[in-house]
Amino acid sequence: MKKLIAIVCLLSAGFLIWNNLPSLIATEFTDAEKKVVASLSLTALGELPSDPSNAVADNPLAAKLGHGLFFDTRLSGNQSVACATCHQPAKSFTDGLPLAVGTSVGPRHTPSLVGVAYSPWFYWDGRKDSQWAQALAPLEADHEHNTDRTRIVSLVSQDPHYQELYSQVFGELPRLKQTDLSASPLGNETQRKAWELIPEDERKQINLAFANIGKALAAYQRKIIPGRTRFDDYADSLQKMPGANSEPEFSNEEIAGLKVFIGKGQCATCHNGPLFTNHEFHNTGVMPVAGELPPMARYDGVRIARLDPFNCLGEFSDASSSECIELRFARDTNDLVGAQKTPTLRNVADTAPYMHGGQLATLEDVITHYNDAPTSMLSHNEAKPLSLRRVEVQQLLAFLKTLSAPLATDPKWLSAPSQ
Amino acid sequence: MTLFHYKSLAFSLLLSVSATALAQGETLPDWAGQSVLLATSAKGLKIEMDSEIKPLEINKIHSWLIRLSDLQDKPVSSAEIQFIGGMPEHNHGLPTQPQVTTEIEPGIYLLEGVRFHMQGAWRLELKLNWNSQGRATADTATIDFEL
Repeated sequence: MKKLIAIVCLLSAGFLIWNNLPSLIATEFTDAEKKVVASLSLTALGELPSDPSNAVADNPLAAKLGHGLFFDTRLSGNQSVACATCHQPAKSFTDGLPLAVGTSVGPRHTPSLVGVAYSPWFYWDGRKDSQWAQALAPLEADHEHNTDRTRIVSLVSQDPHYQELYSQVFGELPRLKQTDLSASPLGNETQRKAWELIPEDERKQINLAFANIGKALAAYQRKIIPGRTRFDDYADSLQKMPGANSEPEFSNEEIAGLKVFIGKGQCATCHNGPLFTNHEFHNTGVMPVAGELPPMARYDGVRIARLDPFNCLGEFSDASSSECIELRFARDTNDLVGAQKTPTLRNVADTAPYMHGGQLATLEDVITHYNDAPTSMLSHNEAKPLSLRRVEVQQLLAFLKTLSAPLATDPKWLSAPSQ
Repeated sequence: MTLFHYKSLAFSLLLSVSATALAQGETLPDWAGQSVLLATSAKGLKIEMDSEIKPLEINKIHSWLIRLSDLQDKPVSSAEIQFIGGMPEHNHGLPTQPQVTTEIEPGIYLLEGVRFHMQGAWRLELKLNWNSQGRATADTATIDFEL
């Protein structure tokens, strides 16, 4: 009996050591691993891609107009919600809440806007194919800004500062016959009826001005660019060093965590490239938001994007059909059921909680989720259990915390303009 | 099925005998001329695939040229080409639905909308319908490569 107890004790002690103690051998990177690490560095981030659907994407005056609009609470039904209400610059353009709270609680977690201009798709389910088309939807969503396109255009028309900037960038604003009208094809029954009563040519003018306002908001959001982190400096120096441990700015725990990130943890499979995202959609078995049926996610999102009158192929886009390559060749197959967008991990430690519904409170919860890889309630979980030891979870956590840095955005863009 | 690794670009270049001539074609895009993947179909067609971006990289949507030629090295024109790709290890496909949109020159087809979103082992499959000496021929080719 004593022998049995001794064996059990020894095995338990062995397990505890195995699970909790880091390897005594210093972490080394192979040439292939160094190549992967280099691909994650901000040094590998190319120029901001152009947006052919938005002719003013890089127009400074458009960005100035978008800057003002982004922080303006008048762009809401109750005059208290701006884009910046949920996309707060101090929190890497997130809000720290599980679910976004605009004029009421919404169904999704506020995603970070850091580097999002590099993405071809927007929203967790990719229902929008440009940053300007995305910017329009929250304005009319009843749980977000809860206003409508007619009131937005009216506001810009009546504000002398906005009116001047708008006319410099886009030309004349439409002259609305009724400046206090609330009307939209997407609103409630009253708003839809009001929209139908507007003459067709005026409706088109309102839609055009509304699209332009979205393009100005996109021009501003293109300024939100990640800054260099300790990881980036380490990744660049690693390419020149004979051994991984000679870098003083990165602890052994962080180095081991990086190794887990690109290796056993399989994180870099989807969180790849210098923005730590492949901009794609994956079902990773995250539980639905409480009270919500499992969402179809990207499967529906791509169909919504195709039907969107503000998409790249629509009449308000500045792109030619041949330039709308992402939309024309977007995949819509069954394996996209339940697939949500891979978020960037830039500044990830500052953007808790996590996942499309803010279901996971901490980064450790996220790692635990991927370590377990639970069965998806809808379709299949692409991820497989990782068998990470406890010490590896902690190492991974330490590494993820190295991905934060102040944005590379001029500080003037990070608060409301003084005018 | 023929297996080629895209990194063996130098070897591929040697086999791509008419690449330089292609690059001088008026209607071909300026990135034509260096095949990054080569394969032989089940029924003997030579397939040369020429990517708009070289070397291949992840997360960039781009086009390819597919050049089909028969055993006599004559271009195979008016072929129907279906393109499927995926990562067998991860049990998923390409993030896009690429399509052959035009035959630019006899035997040279433009494939648009290709994007790879992960590093690792990729498999591309081509389903070909082409006319062989007056007979409709269904053919396939598979190309494996590491990205």
